[in-house]
Amino acid sequence: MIALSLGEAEALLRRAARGAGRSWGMAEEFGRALRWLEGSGLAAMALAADLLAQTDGMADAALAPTWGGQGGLAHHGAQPLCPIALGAALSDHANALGAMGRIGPVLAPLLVLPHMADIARRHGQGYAVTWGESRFALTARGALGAHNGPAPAQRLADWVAWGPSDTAHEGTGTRPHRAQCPSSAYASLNRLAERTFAPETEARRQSGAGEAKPSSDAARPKTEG
Amino acid sequence: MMETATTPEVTIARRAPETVMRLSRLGSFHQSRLSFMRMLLRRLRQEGWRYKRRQFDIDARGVGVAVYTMHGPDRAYSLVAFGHDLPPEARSDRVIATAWDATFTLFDGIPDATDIARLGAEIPLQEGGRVSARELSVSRANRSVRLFDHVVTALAAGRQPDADLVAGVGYVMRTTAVYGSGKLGAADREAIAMRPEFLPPFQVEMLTVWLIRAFVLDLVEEMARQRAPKTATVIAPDLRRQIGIGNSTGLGMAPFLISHPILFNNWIMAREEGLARVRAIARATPQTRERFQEVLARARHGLRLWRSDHPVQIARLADLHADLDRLAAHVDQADLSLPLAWDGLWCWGESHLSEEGQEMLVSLLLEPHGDLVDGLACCMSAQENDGFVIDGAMTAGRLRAILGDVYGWARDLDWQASEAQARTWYVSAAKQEPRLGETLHEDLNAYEQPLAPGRDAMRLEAALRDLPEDAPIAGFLLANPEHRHSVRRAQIAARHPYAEIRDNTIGANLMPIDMLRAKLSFFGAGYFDPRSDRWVRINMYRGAPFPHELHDLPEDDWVYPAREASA
Repeated sequence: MIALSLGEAEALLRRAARGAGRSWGMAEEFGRALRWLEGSGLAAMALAADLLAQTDGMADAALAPTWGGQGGLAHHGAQPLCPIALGAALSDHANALGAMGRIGPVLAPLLVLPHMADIARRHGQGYAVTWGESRFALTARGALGAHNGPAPAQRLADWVAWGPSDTAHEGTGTRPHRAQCPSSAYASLNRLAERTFAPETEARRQSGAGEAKPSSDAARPKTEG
Repeated sequence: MMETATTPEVTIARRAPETVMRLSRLGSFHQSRLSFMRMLLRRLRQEGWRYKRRQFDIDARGVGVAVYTMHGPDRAYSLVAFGHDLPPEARSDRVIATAWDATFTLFDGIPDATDIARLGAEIPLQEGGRVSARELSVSRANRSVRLFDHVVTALAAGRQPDADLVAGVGYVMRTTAVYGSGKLGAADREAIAMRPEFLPPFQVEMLTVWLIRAFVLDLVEEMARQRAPKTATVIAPDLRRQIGIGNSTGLGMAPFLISHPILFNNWIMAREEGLARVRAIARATPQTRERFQEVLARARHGLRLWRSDHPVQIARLADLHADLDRLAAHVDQADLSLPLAWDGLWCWGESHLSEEGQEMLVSLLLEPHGDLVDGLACCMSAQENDGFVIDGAMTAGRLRAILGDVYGWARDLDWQASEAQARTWYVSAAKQEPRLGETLHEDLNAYEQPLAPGRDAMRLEAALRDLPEDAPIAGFLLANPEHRHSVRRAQIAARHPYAEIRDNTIGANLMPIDMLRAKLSFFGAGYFDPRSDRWVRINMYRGAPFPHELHDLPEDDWVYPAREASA
């Protein structure tokens, strides 16, 4: 297990999502979502690594729902939904959606919570989000409320449902400020992140950061003072 | 307090973003009362923070451990410093270096022997090591070959260092990186951001560097003493204070301003608000007029210490010298007791001074007005998250209007021309650091970082063309996720007028040092000395009190050198 600062976790997920072929804007959603989850004490790094490996090379649009007009968001694609693409779409459509909804199938459903928390905060309304045996409450301030059991590592849910809930109360204790990442997930995320780095060439080494900084100021012209 | 008699009676608007947010102007900024170093030292002094050197086990070669602690009203912070004996051939300022003359961390509290042993195994490795949430920053520094040995040798012989050499170099060590905010496993900013001492931006980093400076001066004196215990002396206090901390800053810092739009907005907004408040003062008091004259004279004197070999900066410095001469002559014959005299002076400056001079005038106008300006420090932090959520209900028409308002400058550029997209920002695999490539000559498209907001806004505008005015943007984003980051930026910029640099960040004429200087000026750095178009040397804390004398010297009066100090 590797302890990461939340900033490191966010940057790693942003890069890994970009490396897996997502748009920059969606990659930003990944980073922020993982920051929220880990910051709320929900271990999600391994799940996110799995999700990106499973959807590697797929475009955002292929993993997102479609807008069905009055009926809200719908899903007709062959692929299960990406929870981040779904969450972003829900958040974008927050004003047009009904208070309750249900959609599926959804990969790594835990990862839909951060965007639902945004919606809860913007509406000033507690929400309950459920799938399978899991039930998570989100407070009207966008924090994690009560939930049954630890973060589920479920990789696919037939559906995720949400609706207003007045029972959501503020979570207890201080939020952790560290992310915990299993070594295998860390390696997997880093492999994806590395795709965003340009391989070093001699030309780039020479020019990319400007003329090479001299190793010591002794080599400087005398005019420097 | 004196301003109560001159409460602003008129409102003067802040300068327009189209004026302020151009790269050449951002690259002309100077430190001011709202710089983070000055905020820090004001707070430490006002709150009576006490200093203690808890440990100093350093040998004649500079090798060992030292611990410097600052005790505040509620908490203590300790700089843990590791001195190393680095062979000259291993000394490199580049971020890819692997060994340094000294390495540091700012520890949250007071470290015990176990902590120091743990840190001794990690901190000297820098990026190769890991720290914990007890550590707030990680940093390193290299010796100035020109000055370090000279100072130690002179002191060992019982002599003072050569004052001209000290003035010419300005530091005996320079930091090559100061990492905070969760880097290398350190504490996240949000874990400490609610502590009053860390409410303003970059206070952890500024405290780290201030304590590093104290360590470095102790280090040279200790090395001299161990080398020649019978003859060695220490540096005279006035000369000692003229030694700051050098720093080399490269491209790695440039993207920060683009990736933290709300934070950058808040920095600029505070400074512009400060200027607007001063300009709105109905009648300048004799005390503020006198203080302005004094600071102007000292700024002119200090300008002689600012040297650069870079052709661009040489020309700018020549302009700045001429500007300050002109300003002094104007002030001598202007009647600053007239109504709205500061505004009159500012308007005169806008038509008579270069950008360097105008931005210096901003700093000088803020200087006598701490009562109006210093409180703005609390507005300079940001919760960058607050701007993250996209408003999907925004209509295409409204978004188009925002694009025209914020990115109008980009409409005037021919984005098909190779000069407009001459550069590509990317991250190198070798060191995971931001780099700037030549778009035409390197195949970097797949690696481009989203650091060209103007071009991307124009792409978004083109994609929006056929959308009805009242169409919500949420549907567009489902089908066009590649524009998501641009929509987010545009919505942020609509709420935060200074969030966006209103200039081309990938053009052939881009000088990345403009972005570096804008950021470094808010830190409080001075003596900008560009070494190329993409890295710059600076000096930090030159003239500042040391921790042991903070409460014995006047508050916040160290930036502009006293006229009697030797040049």
